[in-house]
Amino acid sequence: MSDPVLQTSGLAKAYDGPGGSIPVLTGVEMAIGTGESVSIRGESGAGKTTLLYLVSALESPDAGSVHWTGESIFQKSADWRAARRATFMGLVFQAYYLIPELNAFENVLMAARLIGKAGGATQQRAAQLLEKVGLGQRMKHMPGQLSGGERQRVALARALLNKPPLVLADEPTGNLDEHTGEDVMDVLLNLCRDENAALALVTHNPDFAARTDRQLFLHSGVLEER
Amino acid sequence: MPWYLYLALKQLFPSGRLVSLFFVVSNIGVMLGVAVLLIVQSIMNGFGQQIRDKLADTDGHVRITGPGIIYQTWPVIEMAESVEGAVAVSPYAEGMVMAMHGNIPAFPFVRGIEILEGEQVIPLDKYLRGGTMDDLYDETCFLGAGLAASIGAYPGSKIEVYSPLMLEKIKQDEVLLPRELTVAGIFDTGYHKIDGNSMLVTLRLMQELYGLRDGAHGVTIRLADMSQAQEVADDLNAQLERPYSARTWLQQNQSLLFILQLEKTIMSFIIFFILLIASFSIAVSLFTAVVRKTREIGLLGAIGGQPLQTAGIFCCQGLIIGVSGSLLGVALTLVGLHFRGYIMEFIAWLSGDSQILLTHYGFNVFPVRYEAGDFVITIGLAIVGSTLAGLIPAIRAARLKPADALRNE
Repeated sequence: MSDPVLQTSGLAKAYDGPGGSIPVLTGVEMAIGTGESVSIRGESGAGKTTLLYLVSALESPDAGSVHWTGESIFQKSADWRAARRATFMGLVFQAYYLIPELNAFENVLMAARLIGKAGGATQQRAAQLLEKVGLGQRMKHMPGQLSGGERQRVALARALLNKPPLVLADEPTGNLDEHTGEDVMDVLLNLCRDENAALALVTHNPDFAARTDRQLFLHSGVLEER
Repeated sequence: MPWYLYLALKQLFPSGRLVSLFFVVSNIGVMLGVAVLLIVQSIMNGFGQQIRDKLADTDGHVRITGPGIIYQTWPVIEMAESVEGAVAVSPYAEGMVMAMHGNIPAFPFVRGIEILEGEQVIPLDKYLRGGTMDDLYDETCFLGAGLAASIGAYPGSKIEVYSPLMLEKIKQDEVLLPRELTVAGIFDTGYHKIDGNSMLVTLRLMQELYGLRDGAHGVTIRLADMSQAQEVADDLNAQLERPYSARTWLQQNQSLLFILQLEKTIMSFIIFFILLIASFSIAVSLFTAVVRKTREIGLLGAIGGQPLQTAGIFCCQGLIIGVSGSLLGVALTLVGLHFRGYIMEFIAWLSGDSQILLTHYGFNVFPVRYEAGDFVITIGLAIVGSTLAGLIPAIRAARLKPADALRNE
């Protein structure tokens, strides 16, 4: 059996607060297989975003380990993690984070520029991805000329450009109305399915969570499957 | 193209727009700083060169002096004529006299020169307003424009000259008869120190006025290439016996030339602050951009950008602004100085006095001299300043942790 795309073991993280250390995660065990979609829900402040930052190596855990297809990432250098992250995972955030000076196509292609692979084939793929998310006619539009839902679609295309085996999405519909949110969720799930990318979706919305293969709930610093 | 350079260019030249406002404003700052610095330096160089040329013209390039009066000038003249590159050699005598025009006295500095065939030691022709060199003989004189104005003399005026030797005769109860000279011409070098209090006569007249017999105070040499003056003076000093010595026009005017250089340095230093202010404005703008783009910087880190590469975005912007602002500054300098005549005319028109500059400064158009060193140093300072201005925000950007940046509200 092949290694899970993402696996954590005993993952713990605490933040310093005025009254001392505040534990957020106390021992998270999680495994996501190839092409599998998993939702993570929890109350505000439960540590969902912290969990995503830890598994994406944007932060270091106090204890425990994170494996990307079997490789224990915190035993590697920070440079290695940053370089590997660029191709291993696509990140989608609630606030899109598009670069305002670049048009939609250039924003998508930026993910490939960072790893020095923005050649002709990649440009073709960027255009195809934008077609797939329904923005084929709006490639030259600047972020300021796009609606919230359209910006998030650009962010989705950017996340999948480098063909990552894993997509981490942190409340991708949090800034959108219900209808637009559903459209974006459709696009996200379809894209991940088409690209055979695993998905870890942090969301408050039980309907969106229900559309993933497994639903996890973060409570008191640990993940529970429901 | 590295992604950080690409992004730096995109932030300066965003897609869908020709150029960003930040780029325009920053460029104007650097351009003005560079242009003002170069314009002032080039004009100062022009003034300096003009004064140097006049000093060299009026003093000769190398002078040989001896023990006060040189009674046997021919051995010194022969030695001077043997110098390679010497185009004219002439003995001279100089000193103070009292000159009277009507009842207006003056105490000019008189130089007696020998009129040579062909090239003169002092190329007075180009400074003469009225009269020619042929008009100078033992009964005539040339007056500096300032001196002529102060005693109300003009070509054709008669002036009476009293020398110190005549005053000596008064002590011996001799009858004092001044020497009457006709003003043959007015010279105007544009250099007040010379024009305001100088008078030129023949060497023979000066010998008579000062009782020098056939002697002179020194020998002046004019060279084909005045930059060889020091070399020539060194060669002559190696041959001359004490108390004879040779000095270049640079050595004779050392204090004035030092002041000119000092003046240029001080002005450049003061104006350099304009460049510093421009760099500081760039630093502030880029720093604001880093704060404003904190979450985008976080995203770049999150999707694979290295901290140093992220810092490169802001350093590259500073560098690009430095280079483009400098080039624009050079262009503005060259265009501005090329059309300085029209600018001066405009200033004269505004002031309502077309002769204002001629009256006060002795010229209608600023003299200009471009020196490559000024351009290299100014452009270098502008580029280094702008790049350093980008460095401070770049360091902040590099130190941002992606997770903290993404959480930033």
